[in-house]
Amino acid sequence: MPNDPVPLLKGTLDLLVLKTLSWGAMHGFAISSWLEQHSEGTVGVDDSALYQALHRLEERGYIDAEWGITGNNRRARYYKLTTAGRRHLRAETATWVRYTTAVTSILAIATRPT
Amino acid sequence: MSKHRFRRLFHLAPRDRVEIESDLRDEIDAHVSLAADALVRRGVDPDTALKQARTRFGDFDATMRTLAASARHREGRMQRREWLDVIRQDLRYAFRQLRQSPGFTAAVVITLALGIGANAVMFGIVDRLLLSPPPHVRDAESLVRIQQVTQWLGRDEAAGPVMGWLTYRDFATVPSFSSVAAFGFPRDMSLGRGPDATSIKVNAASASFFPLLGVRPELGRFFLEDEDQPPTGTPVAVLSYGFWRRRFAGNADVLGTKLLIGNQVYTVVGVTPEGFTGVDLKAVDVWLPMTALNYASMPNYVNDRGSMWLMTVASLAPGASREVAAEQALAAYVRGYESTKTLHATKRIEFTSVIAARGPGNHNDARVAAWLLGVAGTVLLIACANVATLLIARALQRQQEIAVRLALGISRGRLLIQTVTDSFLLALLGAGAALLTAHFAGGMLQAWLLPDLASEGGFLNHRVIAIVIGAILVTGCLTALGPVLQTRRVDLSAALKAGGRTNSGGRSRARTALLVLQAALSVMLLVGSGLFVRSLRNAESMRLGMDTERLILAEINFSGTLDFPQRSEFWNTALTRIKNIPGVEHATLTAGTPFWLSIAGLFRVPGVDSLPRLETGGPYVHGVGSDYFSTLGARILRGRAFDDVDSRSAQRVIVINETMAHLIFPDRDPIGVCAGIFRRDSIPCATIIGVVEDVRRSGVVEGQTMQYYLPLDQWIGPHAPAMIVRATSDDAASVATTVRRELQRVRPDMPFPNVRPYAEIIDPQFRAWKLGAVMFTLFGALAFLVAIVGLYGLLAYSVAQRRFEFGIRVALGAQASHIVRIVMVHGFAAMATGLMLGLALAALAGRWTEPLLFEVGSRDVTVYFAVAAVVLLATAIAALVPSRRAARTDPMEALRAE
Repeated sequence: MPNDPVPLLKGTLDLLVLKTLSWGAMHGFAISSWLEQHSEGTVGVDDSALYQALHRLEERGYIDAEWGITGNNRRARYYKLTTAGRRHLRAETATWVRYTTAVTSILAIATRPT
Repeated sequence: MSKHRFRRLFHLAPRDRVEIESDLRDEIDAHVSLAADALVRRGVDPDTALKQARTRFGDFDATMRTLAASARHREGRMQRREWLDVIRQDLRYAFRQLRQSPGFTAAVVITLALGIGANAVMFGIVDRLLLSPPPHVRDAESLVRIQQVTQWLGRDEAAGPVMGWLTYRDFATVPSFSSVAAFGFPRDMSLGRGPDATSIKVNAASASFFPLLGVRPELGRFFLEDEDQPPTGTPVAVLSYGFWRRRFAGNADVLGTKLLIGNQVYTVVGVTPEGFTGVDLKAVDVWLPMTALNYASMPNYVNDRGSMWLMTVASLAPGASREVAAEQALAAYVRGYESTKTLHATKRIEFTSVIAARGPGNHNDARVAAWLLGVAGTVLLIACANVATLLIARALQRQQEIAVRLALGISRGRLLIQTVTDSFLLALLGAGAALLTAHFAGGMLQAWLLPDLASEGGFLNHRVIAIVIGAILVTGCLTALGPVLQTRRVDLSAALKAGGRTNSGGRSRARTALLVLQAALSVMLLVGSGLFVRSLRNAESMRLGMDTERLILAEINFSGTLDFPQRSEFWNTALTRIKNIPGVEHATLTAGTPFWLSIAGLFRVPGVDSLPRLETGGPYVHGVGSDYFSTLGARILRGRAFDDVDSRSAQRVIVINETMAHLIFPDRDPIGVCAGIFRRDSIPCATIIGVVEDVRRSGVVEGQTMQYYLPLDQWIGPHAPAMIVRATSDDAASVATTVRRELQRVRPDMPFPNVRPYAEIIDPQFRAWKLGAVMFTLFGALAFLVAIVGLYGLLAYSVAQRRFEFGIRVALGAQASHIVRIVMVHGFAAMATGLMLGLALAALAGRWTEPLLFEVGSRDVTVYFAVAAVVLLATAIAALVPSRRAARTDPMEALRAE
């Protein structure tokens, strides 16, 4: 079924999180909802994996975190992208695109090349 | 202090394990709540929504664990970074501060350089003497020096390392030793002949010596066993590195060169590495095989069990115990003596360390060095106290600035770190300057203080560097103490309001305490200085029985070159020639020479059964020329000296010394008594014709010695005289050079004549006191000067602070003298306390100084009084200006300045 969640390949979660945050600060739950929403359900994020990714990225200095208040007056930890994070996102995106383009083009070859 | 408050103190983020975990829990709970909210919005009821959200989240605990671990890791890194930032900031700030006040910085750095540098230099010397193994000796800990413990009847046990050739061979048979080697004392020998002859330091070593020590030759090889076979050995030579560089310019083709040493030609076969001096530290130029050197000076040494001139060193066989080895050595020794049927008094064999001053006979050098270390340590303490005072003064000046910073929110902890960083930076700079000075001055100082020691090899080694680092740490801590204690008590509002003044009393207690400490320590040094100066003067003013500053000793080793009749002819010719040199007042020949050679003699007097037994042994006999006593400057106390009439054919006569007269003839006149002094009864006895004052035999400090004299012409048997020359003035050195040149002209083929002023021979014996006197005086005066300047500064500051108070007093009619008295009392109170403390400390430490002093008690009242007088006088002078300024305070100005 086309819209069943696909298990994520290793390393891509970090990239997705960075991209999600590139539009502004978000807390963990919002990131998770956003990803589900914009991938039309294909990307299903395991919440514990998400938090591990967030802390990992924070440790490496790609994102910063601080406590804030949500719309519902709930306390939540908001993450935002740092300058280093932005740089990393650009680099990794370029690498990803090259990689997938190459792989896709090979997989798309219908007939056996001579 | 709890960890929490500790962090707060340094304004670091308060995140410990519990907090991290609670934060995480909060975050996850928030996520779950938000997820539940979303479900509720879709119509699920709140409880089910919550449960669903939780299940959706996944494994709660595993997540917590991983996240908590990574969070802790992150926290740790952040904290470390913050610490480094703090330190970097403080260092930069400290540097800026120092640059802004160059005078202060210079004063502090110089003071510390002196303190730390003195310690580095002194420790370098102590290290050389007491701690370091001899250079190039491998595994010094496994080697032992052998010494015999003897006890003659009625005397105490005495231990000595010097033994004879046959004893060495006995020890070589001990199975517990894997190897035994023998070596001698370095002595001067002549190199070459005639006008080009020079004097070199030669030492003898057995062929087993170099392999035993594990040293490798720089060039060529060492002696082979074949080359060291008794009785003659083979005439080969090994040069020392320094000698090789000096004489042969380090030329590699020196091997095979022939050298005429003494009266034998030796072929050079090798060179020792740089800095190698054998087991002792005295400089050596050339090493010769023991058998060859023995044969050259004592052809009969293989049978001689009486002469003792060498020392032995051995390595224990693996698994052998020292006790067993000592027993075996004693057994071997006793076996050797059994065959000769002579007496010996050796009770046991002992082993000592190969490390220089732990060895026998070097105690004086070691003690001096240890003392110097103590002095250097005291100087460092004084330097630290001084620097702490300066730092406090600076902190006081910046009182307002500090108050503002505290008010603006800097934590006291940060302030603490800053003060400490300050001090350590200063200590570091001081140490850097110290190392530079030590490197240059250290070698010079070592050469001056301990000139016998070979100065090859570097001065700075890793141990000295370690001491310097230790000194930095100690200095940093000590100097920081004062200001740190001060900053704790800053009263914010008062400081801000007063704009520079602190408490109304104006007395900086910390500064006063430091001043008292400095005063006490410098008083201690001054007392030491006084004691050593008195010792030195006592020693120098002792009556030695000879006018040493005018006398010159000339001796030549003719063995193998001239036979005895030729030698007599030589000396007689030489004597006539020397007497005619301008600048020479008298000259005489003597067999048996003060500070050079002692000959034991016999003395039998009818009616006296046995001679008194003295610690110094004796009696000793001298064969002297006719004007011996006038040459020496020794007074004849009774009777007369020899004259030309007392020649060979005339009646035998002798002159005895004061001690002999006093001990052997306590209640009668010795003049006219006939004493038997020769072994053969057929030779008639000799009449005592005079009593002369005591002349020192071999030591400046010496117990009573029995000595007697007879005319050289009446001497029975061969003799090897030396010549003593008396100069007309005190400039004995230049006359000595003339004498030497004249002697070299008497025969073209003679070995190098050893001509030295007596002052040069005797000087080393005064060295310990001279050292003590110079060091203590230098450092003591310096320290005291610094303390007095500190006193002046303290009083001036105090007076400035109390201007208001003095202004009021003057306005209310106080007398000038009254005000002067107030200030003076302040100054005297501090210095007098320091004086009392210092004298008490000196009295306590006196116990250890006693053995080093000469005829001065360690609690000598004159010295203590003198020091007290100097201190009080200096205090009065230093307090004069501030007190007068206080008395002249203009009340209007003082009041207005508020």
